[in-house]
Amino acid sequence: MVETPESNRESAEARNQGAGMSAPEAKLWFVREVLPLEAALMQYLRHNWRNESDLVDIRQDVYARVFAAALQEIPHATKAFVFATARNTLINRVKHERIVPIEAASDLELGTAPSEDPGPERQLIARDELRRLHDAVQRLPARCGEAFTLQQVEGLSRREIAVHMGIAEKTVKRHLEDAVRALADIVYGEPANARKRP
Amino acid sequence: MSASEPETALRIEERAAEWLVSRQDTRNWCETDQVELDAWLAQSVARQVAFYRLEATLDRAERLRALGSSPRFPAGIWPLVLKAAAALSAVVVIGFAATGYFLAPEGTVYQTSIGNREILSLNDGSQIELNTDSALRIAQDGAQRKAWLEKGEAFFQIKHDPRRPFVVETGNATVLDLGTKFSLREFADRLEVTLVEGSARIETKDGAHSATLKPGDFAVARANTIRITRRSDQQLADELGWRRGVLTFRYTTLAEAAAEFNRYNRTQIIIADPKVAQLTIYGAFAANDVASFADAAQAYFKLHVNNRDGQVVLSR
Repeated sequence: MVETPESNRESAEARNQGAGMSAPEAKLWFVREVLPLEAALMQYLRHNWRNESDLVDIRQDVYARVFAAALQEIPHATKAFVFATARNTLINRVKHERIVPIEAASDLELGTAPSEDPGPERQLIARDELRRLHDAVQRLPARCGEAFTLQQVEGLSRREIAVHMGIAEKTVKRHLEDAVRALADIVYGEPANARKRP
Repeated sequence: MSASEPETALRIEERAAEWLVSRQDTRNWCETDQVELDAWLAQSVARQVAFYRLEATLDRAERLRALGSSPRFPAGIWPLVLKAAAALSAVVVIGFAATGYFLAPEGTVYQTSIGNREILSLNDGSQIELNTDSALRIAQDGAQRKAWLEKGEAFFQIKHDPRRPFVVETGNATVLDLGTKFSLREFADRLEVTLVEGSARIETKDGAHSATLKPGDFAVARANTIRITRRSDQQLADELGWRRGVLTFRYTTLAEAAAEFNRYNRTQIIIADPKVAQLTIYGAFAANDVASFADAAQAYFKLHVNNRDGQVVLSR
């Protein structure tokens, strides 16, 4: 059989019905199916949780739970599964918070996860994605974006970037680290068609 | 949850970014680093997801390179690349139909011309994929399965049978399969072996040196040495990209990238200027799409591209 990630996964499913994914399969599933839901997930979390500063922790918690669950059993409908997990995570948090944020709790009862349609985020064509990435890089903090562009687009080494920008190599490394984190938030965390947070 | 729960998501993300950016610096990334990273990741699922998320972001950002962040770059290059890749897989299916029935008991030679790939299905369920410009001779009987990689590169997925070992001979070394997926590339002076799955044994021609390979091992066998290094998952995927008709370059010099393209195409890329040869490129291309590569080089490095007599000459 010609090996593609998809056929791997299918054959793995056929092999052990009801069992989970292998770690590489789970990783592929996470990157291909879960991460593209991040914009919708963040919108959902933001809507249902008052304290903005908790959102990154909650998102992380949701991801860790769905990933761990996928290793146990392959979820059938990724989107529904991710949002059900998000909802449970929020409910758990409410229970464990000392002071229960009343609004959050009541919103939760009403809040419903987006429906299971594939959504425009999955149908992004490559050219639009390039434009989006390009825009995202433009929006990085100036020095950070400069270092990232020099590395990713111009292909300079870290040392060359340091010389070019007149800063220490260590600082270049920190800029690149900040760049990838900020870029992840833009690329995954924001709706495909929005330039700013809704 | 896990013992590492006190670690905040932000702290994990910072660490994940540090690991990723350190790993990008391939020249200084060593096996110890990989072991430490693996250990770090193994500590918690939270770390894994944070790392994969940033890793996936960088993977996407790679497309910026060579595939069109330049405003002057013609739109739609990437879809073209995908189309070309799809056309290549059609070639594979045809190749499969033409050669996939069974193999004659006597040694049979399978050959691919420049730019073609072929999949051979053996009657024991094993499968061999031949890359461009390669030749493989296969003979099997009740006691032994034997192949000779006479030139080029091949990927083997061998059904292990302890009673009928599968042995591949090349001019430089011998490889004995122990139930495995591996790729071989034969050069004039050496054999390169990449073990993807299972286990295999490699021996120098004089029998004086041997080694058992495990997944992720990359071995270079010469007349009387075997040198083994490790390959990351990403490196493995890049190196085996030819099975999908894709060449991936990460900070590869134009000289090396051109040499790689020239394996797959009759149209040869010539780099006229040693300074140009040392420019590095980052991106993925369809192996048969010399034009895209030349376009990218032109757009990014403002090179002159001259097409003449089956050659594409790049110069300042």
